[in-house]
Amino acid sequence: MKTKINVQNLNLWYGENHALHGIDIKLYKNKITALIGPSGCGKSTFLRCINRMNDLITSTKIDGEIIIDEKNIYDKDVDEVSVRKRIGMVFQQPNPFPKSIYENIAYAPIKHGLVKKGKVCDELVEHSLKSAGLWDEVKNKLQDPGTSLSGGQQQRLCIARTIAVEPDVILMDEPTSALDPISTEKIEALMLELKKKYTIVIVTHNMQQAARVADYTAFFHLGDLVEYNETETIFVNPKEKKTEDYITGRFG
Amino acid sequence: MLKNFEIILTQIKDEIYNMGQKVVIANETSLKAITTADTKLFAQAKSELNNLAHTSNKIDNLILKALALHQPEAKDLRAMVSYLKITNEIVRAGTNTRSFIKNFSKSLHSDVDFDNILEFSIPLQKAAIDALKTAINIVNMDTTVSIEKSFQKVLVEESKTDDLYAMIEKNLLNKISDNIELSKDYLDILSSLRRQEKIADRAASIANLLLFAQVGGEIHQA
Repeated sequence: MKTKINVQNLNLWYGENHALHGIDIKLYKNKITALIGPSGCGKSTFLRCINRMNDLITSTKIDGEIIIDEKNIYDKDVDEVSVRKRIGMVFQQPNPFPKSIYENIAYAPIKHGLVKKGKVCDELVEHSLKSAGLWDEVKNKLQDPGTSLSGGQQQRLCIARTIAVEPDVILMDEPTSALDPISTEKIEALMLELKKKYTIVIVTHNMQQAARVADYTAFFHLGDLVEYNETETIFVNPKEKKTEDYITGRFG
Repeated sequence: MLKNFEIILTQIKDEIYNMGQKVVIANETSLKAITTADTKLFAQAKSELNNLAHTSNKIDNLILKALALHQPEAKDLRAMVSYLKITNEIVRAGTNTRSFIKNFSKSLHSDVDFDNILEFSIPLQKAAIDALKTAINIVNMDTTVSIEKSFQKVLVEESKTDDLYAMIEKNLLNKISDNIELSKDYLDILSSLRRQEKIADRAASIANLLLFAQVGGEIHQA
């Protein structure tokens, strides 16, 4: 099994608040890793470290290393925009651009110079929408606004938009928490398809979702990585009492 | 239903079917050993039952994994609970088969009148095999009509084994009263044939659990 992301002794401070404490973890290629834990445990903070989103917060201080394909993404010679191109992100609330469905997909690839307008771009839009399982639903209304779609469709549009720039890794921050069960199942089924090509890291409060889709699960608590193992081990035979208490709802 | 749950569900069903088939084959081989008087086949029949407990543990752990990771509901939940109990029933059917083979093959060397015993014991064994085979085949069925039809067939075969065993019991008790020196031999044969009747009971329980998985209601031990 190949390591895609190797995190070594990662610490993060928001001002005086030490939010992540010496995190060491290896995330594997073409696997889904779920990050679980109570609110404020640091799982979303950790997720945002993987594509340097925390750099946008001025009071943040980070040390340690996140090595992706043998390069520490926090090295001074690494441009954070290129990191975010390789590491796509899907957020809790679907956030399509106020543009057409077509433009939602085509915007970033054109901006990054991956394609020019025309046939190649059309093919990229079609491929991305097919990969996100949305093509059949929107192929006859590509010029309609992205915001005209249902919540579940909008989230798949955002996933298609992420895929369009051909990232290596997809980060998902509670991608289904705003969706109904049917849309949730579609996104989960999509994740299982996408992992064949991408490495996926998902933050979820839904333990059942982590159990259903993740190959590996990491449990965070108060900024510490308490336990990280195969999902089956975490949910059947967790080694740490804190993990067991959390997943059985006895935490407190 | 997510694809990874479908995969694990199919794997569990396949493993249960294969495990059940081993017990069916063991019984068919032991029947052949008796009808052809080829005692070497008894060893072959016994070898089919090797690792049955290991297979059962493997399936139970798969079921545990499916329950923990996928939290199945309704029909899927009933199926998982049924499968968990079915592995136990197949192990019990296997234990009865092994015991039948061991004791019945020993009895073949005794001085008892076997022609008369085989007249009833072979139909008893055939009915038990039919019951088990039919019950195991339900694992791969997906319509209520076909499952109910097979369930009824299992009940008929199981009822046959009850009747045949009662006739054998009566017959052998008469023989014991005629020839008291051979009473131990006859009682050993009776005890081994009782195992066949128990195999049919296990088959009825398996069919009952598979019907419960399909149509629901309340789970109860057959």
